[in-house]
Formats: sequence, structure tokens, C-alpha cells
Amino acid sequence: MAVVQPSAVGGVPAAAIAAPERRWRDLLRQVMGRPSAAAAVVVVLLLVAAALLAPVLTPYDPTHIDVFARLQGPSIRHWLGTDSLGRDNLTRTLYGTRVALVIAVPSVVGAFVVGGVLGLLGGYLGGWLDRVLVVVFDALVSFPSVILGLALLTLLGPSVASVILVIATALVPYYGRLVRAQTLAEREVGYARTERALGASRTRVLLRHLVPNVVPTLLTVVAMDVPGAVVDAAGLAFLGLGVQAPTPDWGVMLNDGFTNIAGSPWGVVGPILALVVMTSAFLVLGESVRAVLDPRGPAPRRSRQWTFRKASR
Amino acid sequence: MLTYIIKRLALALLVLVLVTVLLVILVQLVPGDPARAILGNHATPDLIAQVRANLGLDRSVPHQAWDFLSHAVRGDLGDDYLTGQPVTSELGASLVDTAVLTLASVVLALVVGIPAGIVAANRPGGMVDAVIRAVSVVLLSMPPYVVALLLLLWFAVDNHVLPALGAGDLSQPGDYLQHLVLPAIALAVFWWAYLARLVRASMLEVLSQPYVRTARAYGLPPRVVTLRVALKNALMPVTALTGLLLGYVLAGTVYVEVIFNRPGIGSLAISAVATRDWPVVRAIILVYAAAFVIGGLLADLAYRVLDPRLRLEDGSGVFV
Amino acid sequence: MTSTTATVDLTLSVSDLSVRYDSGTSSRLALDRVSLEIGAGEILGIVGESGSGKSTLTSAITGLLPANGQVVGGCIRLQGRDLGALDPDELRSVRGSQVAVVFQDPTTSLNPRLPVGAQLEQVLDAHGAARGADRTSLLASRLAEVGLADPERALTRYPHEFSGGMRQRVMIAMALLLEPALVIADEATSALDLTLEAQILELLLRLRDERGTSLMFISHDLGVVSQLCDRVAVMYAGRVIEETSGTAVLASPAHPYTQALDAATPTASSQRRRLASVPGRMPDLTAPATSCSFAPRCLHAAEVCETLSPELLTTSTGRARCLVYDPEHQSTWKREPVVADWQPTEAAAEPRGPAVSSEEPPLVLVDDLAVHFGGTRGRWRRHRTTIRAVDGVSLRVHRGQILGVVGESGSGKTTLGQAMVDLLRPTRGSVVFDGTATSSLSGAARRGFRRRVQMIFQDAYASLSPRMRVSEQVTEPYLIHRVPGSERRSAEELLASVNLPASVARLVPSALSGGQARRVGVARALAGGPDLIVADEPTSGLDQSAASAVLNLLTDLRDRTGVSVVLISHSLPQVKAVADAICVMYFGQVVEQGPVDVVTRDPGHPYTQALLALAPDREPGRRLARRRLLVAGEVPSWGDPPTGCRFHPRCAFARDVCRTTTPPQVQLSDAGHTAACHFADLVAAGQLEPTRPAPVAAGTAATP
Repeated sequence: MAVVQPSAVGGVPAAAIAAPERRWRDLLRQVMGRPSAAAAVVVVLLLVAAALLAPVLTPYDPTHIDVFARLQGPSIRHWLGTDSLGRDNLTRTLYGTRVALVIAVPSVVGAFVVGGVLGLLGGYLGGWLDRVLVVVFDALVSFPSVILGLALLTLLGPSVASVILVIATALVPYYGRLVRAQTLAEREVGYARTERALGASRTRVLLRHLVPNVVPTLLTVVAMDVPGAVVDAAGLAFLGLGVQAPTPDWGVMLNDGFTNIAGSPWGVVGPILALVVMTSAFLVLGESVRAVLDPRGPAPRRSRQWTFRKASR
Repeated sequence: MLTYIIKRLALALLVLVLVTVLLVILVQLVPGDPARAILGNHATPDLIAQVRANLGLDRSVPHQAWDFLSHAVRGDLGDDYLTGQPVTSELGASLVDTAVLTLASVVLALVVGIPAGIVAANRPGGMVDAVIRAVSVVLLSMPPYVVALLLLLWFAVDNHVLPALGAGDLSQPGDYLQHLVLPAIALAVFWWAYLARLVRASMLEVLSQPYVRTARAYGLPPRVVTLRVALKNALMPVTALTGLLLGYVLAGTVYVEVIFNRPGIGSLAISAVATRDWPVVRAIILVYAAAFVIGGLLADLAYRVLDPRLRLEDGSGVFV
Repeated sequence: MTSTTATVDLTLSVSDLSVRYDSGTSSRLALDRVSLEIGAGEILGIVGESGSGKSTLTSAITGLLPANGQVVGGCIRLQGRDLGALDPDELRSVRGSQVAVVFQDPTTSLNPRLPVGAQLEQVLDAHGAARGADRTSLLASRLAEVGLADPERALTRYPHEFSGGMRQRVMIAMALLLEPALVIADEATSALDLTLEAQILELLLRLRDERGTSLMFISHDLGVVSQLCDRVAVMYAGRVIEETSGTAVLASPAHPYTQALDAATPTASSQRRRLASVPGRMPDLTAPATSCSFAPRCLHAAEVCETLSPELLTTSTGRARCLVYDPEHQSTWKREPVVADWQPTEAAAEPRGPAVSSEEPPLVLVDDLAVHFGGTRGRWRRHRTTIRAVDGVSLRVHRGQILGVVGESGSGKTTLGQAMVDLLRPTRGSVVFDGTATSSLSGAARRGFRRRVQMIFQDAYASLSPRMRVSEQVTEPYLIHRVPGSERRSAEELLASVNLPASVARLVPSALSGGQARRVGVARALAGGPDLIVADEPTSGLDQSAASAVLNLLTDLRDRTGVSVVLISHSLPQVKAVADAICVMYFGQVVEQGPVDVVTRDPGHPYTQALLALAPDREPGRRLARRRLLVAGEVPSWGDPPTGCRFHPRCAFARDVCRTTTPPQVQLSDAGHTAACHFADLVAAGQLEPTRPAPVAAGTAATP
């Protein structure tokens, strides 16, 4: 009920009663208990499997050129048709999953490590370091990767490494702000202060209390950013700024399909489906994780605090 | 309030200066000879020398930054390598086109997204809500280039209801508007879903606030509670987002202009990158940065104006 | 308006009302056959702990139950009209015009983005009041009526521009706007300081007397209810378990549960007396009760209590839902239960603190301590107001002593506490712990200090690391201070010392109840074998019974281990119940301190006197006498601190000298009793005449 009571002791969620390490299992169980989330997990696993097993799943070489089979529509031999050089679209889409993950995962993880360390230090230590970081983060946080990409890729030349650098750079200020806000919130909520009062050193409070409380929660957020990185990488490749042909990348395929769209519309179908399915799956999964972590429903603003601890005050 | 505006303007300027300096430093950071990196491996020594002089690469970084800044302030962003034209004059025409597209998309995004969110929040868990939420998951998964490609497939390849290529002619408003429809939709779709979800969540949050309970307890009619009490408060996050929205939509125009073959600064940027025309790229990045900064500035100021608690922050003292 | 003869002069009649909440698979009966009546101009108090269903009552009467709640039986009549028979639109028109609610937290209950005038107008619009020029004057007159100065200007102000007490007055003005027959005050004073609460109660009384509005006053605080209400209904687990008069509910309650609540409530007379603490928790009902819901926790429970659900039976002061009063079962009990049954017997009334000799050096010596915030920070920053949170405080804590620091919000008591444990740097003055100034500590000495001095923070959950098990948390001080194994105690031992079962060790903080979390905090504080514990509002957010348990725990620890305790609290009665010495703070300064019995017997400062007078009192009738001691106004702002004595703008005794000259600390006795008042001697002797007239309200409140 919505009525505020002066001395209410909040209800205790089932997940909180268990010991800490068991909560990850409980979380998984609860997430899998939701049909849409379970489906999303299956889809994500299938995508990973597609990336790993691509050579087994398809008889074709993703870069094998067959000029006699250019721009074909779907057939028994080529389920999604062929591209302008007669390569099998389905094969390229499957292999494209590899490229997508190879770019996205390091970008996101790298950005989180760099942004996370900066955010933790800024948020916990405060002072001039924090002030400088805040200005820099604020200045850079809204710059989309495509614009950073324009600058960096013009100078560096397109390559997988450059794309990872561009996407990670675009994410660092975002994670930096996120971790900083969360650190500040955790620092304010008292247990950090209490630890200091008990005589614990700053390092101990930071490593023993703040990191374990801040990082796991945010990891779920970070995992959900993987498709965003995939979308950005594909976009850059589509513009010719990222991964280059003949690599079987979704963006490269989109570019080829777009160039020849009048000849055959089938070139863009595979990568579009792959992008939409992957992103949707992550979205649904992310939503479920959040709902399980915070049964009160998503809090739109107020520094997203999806902590496990929701009991009462 | 005035101090805040001044502070905020100073920050905006600082960001722009930072970006300028970064652009200068960036060229220096590139391994090897920057001029060669810009021109590629097949450049003639003559051309390289010309580029070096043109960009002032032989001078110190602060000197370069100052040079670039002082020229930029006077509206001089350097010359195009290939055409020799001043970059500003090349930007001029494209800028109008891109600005129109951006604003049209932002308006379209807000006009559809916000009402969708309100409708969804009206009966959480209901049919309408479920449909809006399901559709929004799919739409959120579609970046502007995917939507643009789908629209292109649909309208350019299958049927020809709307013109799909080019920007049309500004002197014929009907034609120009028709050309605007598909690109604007392509950019707005993602934000329909995003705004719908944001507004929905924000509405639900606000509707659970004690002051909404007060409004109900004092017999305010449901329409007044939803639209006058709750919505006003629920739109605050949207206000904060609108500035960012401007920037993100602008970034999306790069894809959409390429796909719909519109002569905006996005297309210009891509062709400049292809020819490694650094002065043009640099100028365009500065324009984008300015748009971002202005968007953020407007959003922050709007937030201040709309929230009386922030507006009167330095009007010290409590009224008793 | 329809009316039946039976209910003609009743403003509200609730009969057999049952409300159920359904959530997924489970359901909960929040109200179980509740019957209540409120006559015209009557004040009915509803008292109960959290979970008793008292707030559901508000929602049910206003027709604003959440979506998963529904009325499953009974009916509600407002001035004879059955609210259950109204369609939603008719019900809407009743809300605000015939029944209005004043909610708990005025800060969040008003729309932050609309001036209060516009919010009041929305209410008028909602009920079709005519627009016109005289509207503003109507609104202004309502604001004036509830005590807002300059009401016309106030109409254009936003809620955040008002102080807490003023906001609640605005809420009350909104409630009165359309002259409803019934006003429901749902914990309307619970978020306010004691002196503000008294003002609001005074205002409600006055409005009732002037307008004849009926009032339903819902509160968890037995003391407040007894001060204000004509009649009181006590709720437990969704049922009304006792109906009695406002005076009798504290003086002579009949139901064992009410008696337990009473025994747990610190009152004017509960000095150095253990407070009652009832074990167990209030049950959640899923079906109508078939036995006494309190029986599992009741001292007097007999076999019949488990099988029969008692009716409301007549007692000498009202009616109680207890079989003791059933003539049929009278033989089961030898006598009627009394409050004293719940009072712990051991060591009552006699002072338990160690004899404090003034020769022995104190454990803590605070000398002219000041902690200021803000002010001149950085050249480019605007000059913010300096907040002198603590401004020249001197006090001492002796070994084995419990020192109570009392003050309202803004008094600086929390800042003082944090400065004492060296979490805040003093701006001026010093804290000397066991002969060493805390400012001179460094390295190993500082770590040693951190081990010997512990602070228990106000928010118990927040001060526990959310992902660590209780066992790790309580033993963490050993790791921090590298305590050798031989000196360590196990988590189970530590938990046992705060009366928690060993099974708690495996839990994470969110699985603890409020009282348990608090005690885990105490257990952790005890781990290092401290010499001093500073406890900041250790009972905030707890139900009365759990609060008593925590307070008793602190005294037990002192008795057992000789640890010194600084108990920071907003409640003078609470401090009075457990402390040896007391220190009253106002606006950053100590206004009075000394041994608890001396200070409470002969207070030398008008502020102390007022706080004492506001304490709930079992003796009926004293309410009127002390109303003239009401503290007017609110805590001043730091931007414009009062000259002379900082308390003078609110003081009932203020004279010219108070406005110009800062009062000295006047020594009132050899026992270390001092008060910062020019007239301390006269105040202590009760010989100073107030300079302000007593409140105008008629004194009819005391008679039911």
C-alpha cells in the first residue's frame, strides 16, 4: 500500500535472505522464471553459439566469391540469397556475429574498467580530481561514437582496433559518471562512514565495501550495453569508417546490400534481423534483471540504484 | 539564476575550447607524420608540405590551437584541400538542410513519444500498455540506419508513395516536405520508443508520489490529476533528455543523409573522411560539438526554469 | 442529504468494516470488522503500531484504497450517507469537501511545482466553487486562520519556500478550505519536532473549538493521542481492541496490549525506569480472527484466549476486546491486568549509574567545541551562510555514565556526536578523550582511539554493508584493528550479548528487522571492547516496543561492562528514562545540563521546561496548565541568527535583556547543574512570569 508509515519495517524480499553468494543463483533462477527473459537468454546463447560454431553450421566460406551467383534471392542453397560478389548472406551473417562480439565485448569491458576506476576514485576521493573528472565527463558524455569516429578514424585509418578505441572512448565518460554517481550514493548511505568510524582505512573501505557493492550492480548494466556497441560498430562499418570489406561484418554487409538495393533487397535482411534480434533479446533480459533486482519497478531518474538492499529505512 | 546562467555559459564555452584543443592534439597523437596519415600513403611530397603548412603542423600545439580558435571565432575554419574553397561556405548550405531534418525529427519524436507514454501509464498492465511496451522493445532495437534501410526498401523499391532520395527543393515547400518525411521518421522511431518508456516510467513514479495522493484525496478529477498534477512533474526527465535528444538525432543524420542521399553535413562529413579532407572533418566535428553543447545548455536552463526548487536556489532564506 | 435517525448526529460511523489486500497468491486482511463512531466536533484518536491497519482506515474512508485493496464487508457512513453506495464521481465530490485528510509528510504531500495558492485553487475548482475576486481573500483568510503571517504573499510561494511546520499549516488550511465535516489527520505530526507538534496540536484543538469540525487523529504515539483526543480507539492487527477516553488511555488502559504500549512509552514520570518491551511481532491476518491476536505475546494469556475471539467488553473506562472483562471467564484470572505488569521489576526506580565523583577525571572532556560548515570556501564561490552547527559546547562524560544529549532538529546534536568521535574536525575548541586531545592523535594512537570509541549511526540499515553477512560485519573491527585471536569473541557471542540468536549471523542486513539491525550495529560497536559508545537516535524508525528493547540494551551494557554512553535523542522523556546526566541543546549551543533528576525536577531554562511540559503525562488535567509554556515559532535560519539569547524569539519569558545580551551559563547547584538563561534561578524556582499571554483557545479539550 502506498501509505507511508512512520515506523514501517519494509518487507524482506526472498532474494535477500540468502547468503550473498547464493543470490546470484537466486537471481538467475528468478530471471529464468519469467518466460520472456528465459526466451531472451536462449536467444543470447544461440547468438553466442552461432559465433562459435559458424564454420560447422554452414558449408560456405564467408569470403568465397562466386560471380555467377551474384545478388540472388533466397533459395535452397542460399537461404538469404547472395551478395554482390555471390557470397552467401546467411553464412556472412553467422560469421558476422563473431566480428560483432569481438568488437563489442572488449570495447565495453575496456570502457568499464577505465571509466569505473576513474569514477570510483573521483566519487570516493572527491577533491580536485573529482572536479576535473566531472567537467571532462560532462563535456564528453553525450558525444555519440559516430562523431568521435569521424575524427579518430580519419586520422587513424579504419581497423578493428580503431573501432574498439572509438566505441570504448565514447563509453568511458558514461561509465565514469555512472560509477561515480553510484559511489557517491553508496558513500553517502552510511556504511562507508560507519566503517571509517570503526577505524577502517580509506583503501579498505574502497576495496572491501564500495567495490563489492558498486561493481556487481553495474555489471548488469554494462552487459546490457553490448548490443549498443554492436550497433555502433555496424553503423561505422556501414559508413565505411569501421571494419572493411571483405570481413563478414554486419555493417559491411549492410553497406553492400544498400549499394545494390535496387538489384536485390536480400543483402540487408540478414544483418538487420541479426541486429534487431540481438538488441531485443538484451533489452528484454536487462529489463527482467532490473525487475528482479528492484521489484518496485524501474526508477527513471535518481541515479539508478538497483541495489539488492531495498529494505526500509 | 543569473549567476547560474553565466556559470553554465562559461562551462559551455570551456567545452568548445576543450574540443578545439583536442582536435589539434589528436592530429599530433597520430603515430608517424600527421600530414602523411591524413593524406594516405600515396601523397606527393609537395602535397604533404602544403598540408603541413596549411594546418600549421610545424608550429607548437598551443600555437596551433590558438590559431585555429582565433580563426574559428572569426568564422574561418580553413580551406578545403580538394576544392580550395573556404570550409564555411561549403558547410553553409548543408547546415540548413541538416538543421531542418534534425528539428523535424525531434519534434516528431516528442509529438508521438510523449503521448504514447502517457497512454501506456494510464493503465499499467493493460492491453494498450502491453502493446506499446512490446512494440517499443522492437523499435528500441532499430538504430536509425536500420529504420532508414527498411523505409528505403519499402518506399523506394516496392512502392513509390513518397520520394526516398534527395532533399527536394527548398523553393517548393510541398516537395521539400515530402522529401523530409521518410528521413525524419527514420530518426524519430527509436525515440518514439525511448520517450514512451521514459514518460511511462516517469508518470508511474510521479503517480505514486504523496502529492498525487493528496490531489486525489481532495477530490481533484482524474483528468486534472493525470494531466495537470502528474504530467507536469513527469515531464521533467524528458526536459533533461531533450537537449541530449537534439545531439543524438543530429548524429543519426549522418546515416540518414547517406542512405536517403541528402546533401547535409553528414553526407559532407562522410565524403570528406573518404578523401581525408581533415579541415572539413574538423570543422564538421566542431559544428556537431557546438550543437551538443547548445542542446545541453538549453536543457539545463529549461530544467531550471521549470523546477521552482532549482530556480530559487540562491534566493536565500525560507519564507515563513 | 439523506439521514437515518440512528446516525443523525454522527459525523462518521464505520461499522464492521473489513478491507483485504490481494497480491498475487497471498492476501492480507488489513481491517477486520472495525467499528467506529465520531460525533460532531469530537476528536477521535486512532492509535496503533505499524501494521495495525490504521492508515488503511484513511484510505478506506476516502475511497482511495490501492488497486489491490478492497472493502470486503461493512459500511462507512459520513453524516448518515453510505459512502459505499456512491459512484466514483459522487465519492470524488465528497473527498476534499466533506472529508479532508492531512497527511504525514507535508514536504512531499504538496505539489513541488505549483505555488500553494494555485494548489488551493485546484481544490476549489474540483468542487465547482465559483471563480472570482473574493477567492484570493478567501484563500488568504484560510492561511491566516492556520497561523501564516502575510497570507497574501504566502499564496504565491512554492511549498519548498516554507518551513516544515508552515507546510503542515498549509496542508491544514487546504483541509479546512471547504469546511468539511470531518478532517482526518493521518500521522499529521509524526514528522515534526516536539515543539512544532505541540503547535499543530494546539491549532487542531483551536479549529475544532471554533468550527466544530470533527477530527480523526491517527498516530502511533500513545502520548500524543492522549494529549489531544476526546476518545481513543486502539488498533492491533486490523481490529479495534480498546475504546476509551483520551485521558484514560495513558492513565488507566484496560487491554493488556494498550498497557504494554503504555509501559513502553516514556512519559514525564518514567525516570530511570526500564521501559517495557513486548517480545514477538504483530501478526498478519489472512482471515477474520477467531482468537485473540495478541494472545501469543500476552503476559496474561490463558487457554481460552487461543480459542475464543473476544467481543468489545465493558470496562471501567470504556470497552476492551479482552476476555478478562468477560464475566463468564472472570474466574480464569485473579485480578484485572494493570500497566505495571509489563514493567520490568528488577532495579526499578533506584539510580543504577555509578556514583560519579567529581574528582575523577572525566573520560571525555569537550571544551568550547565549535563545528561550523560553509562560509568562506573558495574565492569564486558565493558567500554561503555559515552554519554554526555546534557553537561553543562544553561538557564532560564520566566513566560508566549515560549522558543524554537532547535537542530538536537543527540543534547540532548529531554534529556534536560526530565531532566527539573525531569524524568531524572542530572549527574551535577541543575534545579530550582519556587525557588526549583527539586532534593530536595520529597513526597507531588514532587507530586505538577508533577502537575504544564507537558511534552508532541513526540509520541502522545504511550503516551495515549490504552484501556482507552479519557474522562478518560484527567481527570486522577485529580485522581492522588486527586484534589477536585470544582477545576476539565469536560473532555468536557478540550477538548473544545484544540478545540476538546465533541464527542471525548468517543473514544479510536486508533480512533483519529494524530492531535487529540496530542491535547488530550495537554488537559490532561492542566487538573491540569500547570505552565510549555514541548512539545517534538509536530508536528512530522503531516501534515503541522495539525502541524500548534497544534502550534497555544500552543500559544493560553499561551496567555490565561499565562502558560510557552518549545517547543522542530528540525525546526528552526517552533520555530521562535511561540517562544519568542530561544535556539540552538548542541551535548549536547547550542551554542546560546537569544530573538528570535535578534538571528534570528544577529546569533552569525555559526551553527545557517546555520540553518537559510537552512530555506525555499519565496525570490527566495537567495538559491545560502547561499550554502557556508552548514554544512559539520555529528554529531560526542560519542566515539570520537571533541576537542575544538565541532562544528569545520563541521564549515565553523573553525580556529586553534577552534580546541584547548573550546569557551566561548560570550555576544552579553543586552537582554541575547549569543553564544558559539570564533568569535561570527564577525559572528553576518557578517564579518568573511569562511575558506572552497563554494561547486563546478555550480549555474544553480535557473533558471527553
